[in-house]
Amino acid sequence: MSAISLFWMILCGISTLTFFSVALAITIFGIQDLRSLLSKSNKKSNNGKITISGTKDIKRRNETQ
Amino acid sequence: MNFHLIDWLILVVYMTGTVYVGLRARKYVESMEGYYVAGRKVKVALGSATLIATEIGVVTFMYFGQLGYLTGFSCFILGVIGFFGYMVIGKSGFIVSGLRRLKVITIPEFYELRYNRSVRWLGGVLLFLGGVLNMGIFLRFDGIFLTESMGLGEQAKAIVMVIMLVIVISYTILGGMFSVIITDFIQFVILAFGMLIATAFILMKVSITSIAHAVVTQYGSSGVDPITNPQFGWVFIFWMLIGSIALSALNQPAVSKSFASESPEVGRKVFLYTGFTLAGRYMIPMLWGVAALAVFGPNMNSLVAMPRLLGSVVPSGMLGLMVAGMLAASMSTYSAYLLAWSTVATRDVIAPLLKSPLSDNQNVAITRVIAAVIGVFMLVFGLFYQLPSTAFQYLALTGAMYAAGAFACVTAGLYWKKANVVGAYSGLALGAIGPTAFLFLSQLKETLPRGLLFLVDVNVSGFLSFVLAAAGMVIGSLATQRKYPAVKLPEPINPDAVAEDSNVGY
Repeated sequence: MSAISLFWMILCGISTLTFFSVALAITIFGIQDLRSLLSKSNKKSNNGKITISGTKDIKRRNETQ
Repeated sequence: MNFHLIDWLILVVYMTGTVYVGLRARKYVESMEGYYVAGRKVKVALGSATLIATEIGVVTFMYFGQLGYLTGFSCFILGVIGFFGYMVIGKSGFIVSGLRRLKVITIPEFYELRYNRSVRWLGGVLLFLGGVLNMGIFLRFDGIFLTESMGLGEQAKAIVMVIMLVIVISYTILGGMFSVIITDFIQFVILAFGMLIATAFILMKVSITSIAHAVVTQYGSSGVDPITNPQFGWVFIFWMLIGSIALSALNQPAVSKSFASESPEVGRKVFLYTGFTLAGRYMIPMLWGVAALAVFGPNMNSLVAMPRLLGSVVPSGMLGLMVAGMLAASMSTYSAYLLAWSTVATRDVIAPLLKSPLSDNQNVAITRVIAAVIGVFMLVFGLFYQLPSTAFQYLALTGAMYAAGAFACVTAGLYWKKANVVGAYSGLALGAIGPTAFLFLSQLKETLPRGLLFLVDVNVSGFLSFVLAAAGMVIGSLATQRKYPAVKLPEPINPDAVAEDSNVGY
């Protein structure tokens, strides 16, 4: 195996291990984030009906321009 | 057929579960911001998971696998460049923090704030066309991957494509970004597991030394040196260096995850943590492709080699889990892309043409219809279009069609006081010329005079699009400063107030 092949293989190995390690960490912390997102949103849930403008900030900014 | 009863059971349970969860997410959609950007309440880990899931699909595995099969280790340079691009954004907040601070939902909205409504419309059209063309080949690649790895045969491709499409469209259209984020997270976990299974079984069957030996014997130095490899070279590397930053920061499906984050700082961190996985997510499927080279030799269809290898080395039971993981990857990508491009079409292409503004319900209804239309387009385009280059280069080029102009307009708009409307028009138009010319002229390659052949070099075309867009922005702005003075950006609204803002009236 040439030196440059070895270099790419080592780099690939490090990248693969990093990918799975970070993926594991994101999975663990992501579960907490998902719970938090759903509990916050659930309190304000309106059964899927969209009833008011969500673009107030954009509209307000355009008016102040 | 490689697929057995246990594999089918795993697949059916997974698919049913995903659709159920995606449809249940509909109840969380409370406002238009809820539909488009999940109420801007997403935190770092969840945002990173959903961004990674969005950016990994079967199409990603396919084009990276194809590159690995065709170019050996040379293509690993793309993992290094991609990592660099995400790190620049993740460390500095370049572009993404600025856009998140302004609380835009789509990139063209920024054009209206900084330039004018017509620039927003033009930017919206280019973003939509480039994005949909880019996405057009996704479904076909899924069809090839699934039929090859499951051993269903070529004739099942169209049926697999239709089933995939119907499932994803159903929950994306109904649930919007909430569905996308919740299902993305589940899909992220399953796809990471699927990738682990695939890598483990490939490395058990194909030794590292035989992989390295195959690269050197089949491709020689071009298999390990991206500069001498005829597919790449310096022009390609320069194009990718700029393109990796531009496409990462301005790819609407990806950057909408930053827009959905709870603050600009969280938006930046989402890119940082995603960046750590980037080299791996490029190199893992590339390694599968190189392993296919070692097993099958260089004379196979380059798109078919990698999935066929997976189908042959992963045993029954595990194959069901792996395919579920791959499907998870695709479904998360489709849902995010469908939502992103239909949002752009509604808010930036259709709405600016109407005299009276659309109500929230009309906005969401039109978005849903457009998502369905894009789905049908993907099916037709995927069945009939013939790729003019490698899949990766096609995707990078159609990405450049909108990203080159957008990169010039957004970067200059955020960081250069003199950027004006003429510069924006010039940047957008010149950025789109190179890739558009390539897509048309590559179909007429045989009839072109020698002097114009550089236009059908995919690397030159992609690189030129960024150079021309930047030149258009700078020259156009400087030449017309007096007649068209630059418009100052409005002060950003307090980002912490977003959640309250979007829920006024409940």
